[in-house]
Amino acid sequence: MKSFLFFTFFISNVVLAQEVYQTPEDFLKETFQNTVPEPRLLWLIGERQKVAEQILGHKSNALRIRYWKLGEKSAWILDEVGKDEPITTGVVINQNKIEQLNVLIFRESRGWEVKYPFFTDQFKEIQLKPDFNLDKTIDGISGATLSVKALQKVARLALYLHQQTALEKP
Amino acid sequence: MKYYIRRWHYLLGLFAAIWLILLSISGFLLNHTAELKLKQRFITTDWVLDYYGIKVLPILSGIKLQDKLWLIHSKNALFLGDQRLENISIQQLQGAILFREQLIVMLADNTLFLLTLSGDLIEKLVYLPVDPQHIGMVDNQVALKTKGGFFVTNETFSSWKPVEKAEQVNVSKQETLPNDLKENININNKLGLLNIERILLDLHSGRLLGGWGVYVMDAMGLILLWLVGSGGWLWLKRQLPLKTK
Repeated sequence: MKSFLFFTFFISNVVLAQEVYQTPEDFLKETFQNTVPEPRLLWLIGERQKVAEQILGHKSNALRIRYWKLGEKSAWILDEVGKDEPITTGVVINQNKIEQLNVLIFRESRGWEVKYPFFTDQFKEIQLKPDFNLDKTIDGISGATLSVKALQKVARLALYLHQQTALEKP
Repeated sequence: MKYYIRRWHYLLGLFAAIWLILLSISGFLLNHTAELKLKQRFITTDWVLDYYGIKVLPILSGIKLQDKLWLIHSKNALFLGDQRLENISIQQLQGAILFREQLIVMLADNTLFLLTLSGDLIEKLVYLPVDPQHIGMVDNQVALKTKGGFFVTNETFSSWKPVEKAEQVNVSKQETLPNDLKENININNKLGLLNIERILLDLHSGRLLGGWGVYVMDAMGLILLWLVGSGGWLWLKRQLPLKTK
C-alpha cells in the first residue's frame, strides 16, 4: 500500500528546461521488476563524507542519500552537475559491479550524447578499485567532456556507497 | 605655437596622470583578486547599490520555527535566523516546520528540503503529492496541503497518504519579524549582490560612468597618444638648438 502511494503521487518540477529520458519511478520499477522495495537512507558523514568529497571533487550537497536495495542489488538515483545543471542518473549495482547506468533527466544545453547506450553500456560490469577509481577506462565523447566526467563520478560514488550499505543495519 | 603645445601638454598631462593613477591601482588590485578575496567582499552602501540599479526590498516577515529560530526568504537569499544559507538556492518559499525539534522541513519550489538546525542540507525530496502548496503538522507528522487535499508522510518521507482530519493540520504561516532580527537580516540581505571586483572592473574599463564611460576611456587613450606626440615634439625642439650650437 505504501509503495502504491509512493508511486501514485508524483510531480515533475518543470522549473528548469529539462529532458526526461526515463522517470526515476520507471527506472526503479524496471530495476526491481515492479516490486520496488522501501527506500533506505545512508548518511554521508565522517569518513564517508570525505571519500564522497574526494570522488566528486567537491563537497556533497546532501548529508543523506536515499537508495533502494533488494538482496545484493541496489539502485541509486544521483544528481551531479556537468557544466551548469545537474544530470540525474540512475545506477544499479549488483555484487559490487555496475549492472546498469541510465541518464534519467538531462538539463544541460550540451553533452546530451551521454544518454545513448553506446556510452552508458561501457559502465556495465565495472568495479571500484581501492583508490576509488573505476577499474576500466571509459571512452569520452568530444563536446561532452563535462557530462562524461559527471557520469564517471556518479558511477564511482554509487559503487562506493553500495560497498558502504554492507556496513548498515538491514 | 610652442607655448600653446607646452601649456596643453602640462594640462592634459596632469589630467592623464590622475587617470593613470586610477588605472594603475585598479589594475594592480584586479591582478590580485583571489588573494585579496575581492569577489567575496561586498558593498552594502545604499547609494552605490542604487547607482547600479540594484533594488533591495526590505524583509519584513518570515516563518517562525521555534522561539528565536526563523526561516526567512528574500529575493536574494534564504536565511536561518540572520545567517544566509549559501548552499541552498530557492525561488519560492512555500512553508516550513520544525519536525521533532531536530529537523527543519521546508517546502520550496515544489520540493521538500530537509535541513539540520544549523541549516545544512540533509536531503532534497522531489517526489511528492501532486501540486504541493503548503506544509504543516498533524499528529506530529509532516503534512502537505495540495490542490487535491492534505497528505501526511511517514518517518522516512517515502510514502504519502491522505489525511483524514484535514481541519487539524497546523499549516505554517508567515509572521512579522522581531525588530532586532529585521535589522540584522536587512543588512545581510545586501551581501552577495555587488562585490568589489565588479566595481574595480567597471572603474578599470570606464563602465562605471555608464554607457559613455567606454568613450571616455577611448578619449583618454587618444589624449595619451597626443601627449606622446607633443612630448616628443617639445623634446626635439629643445634638442635641435643645442645641436646647432
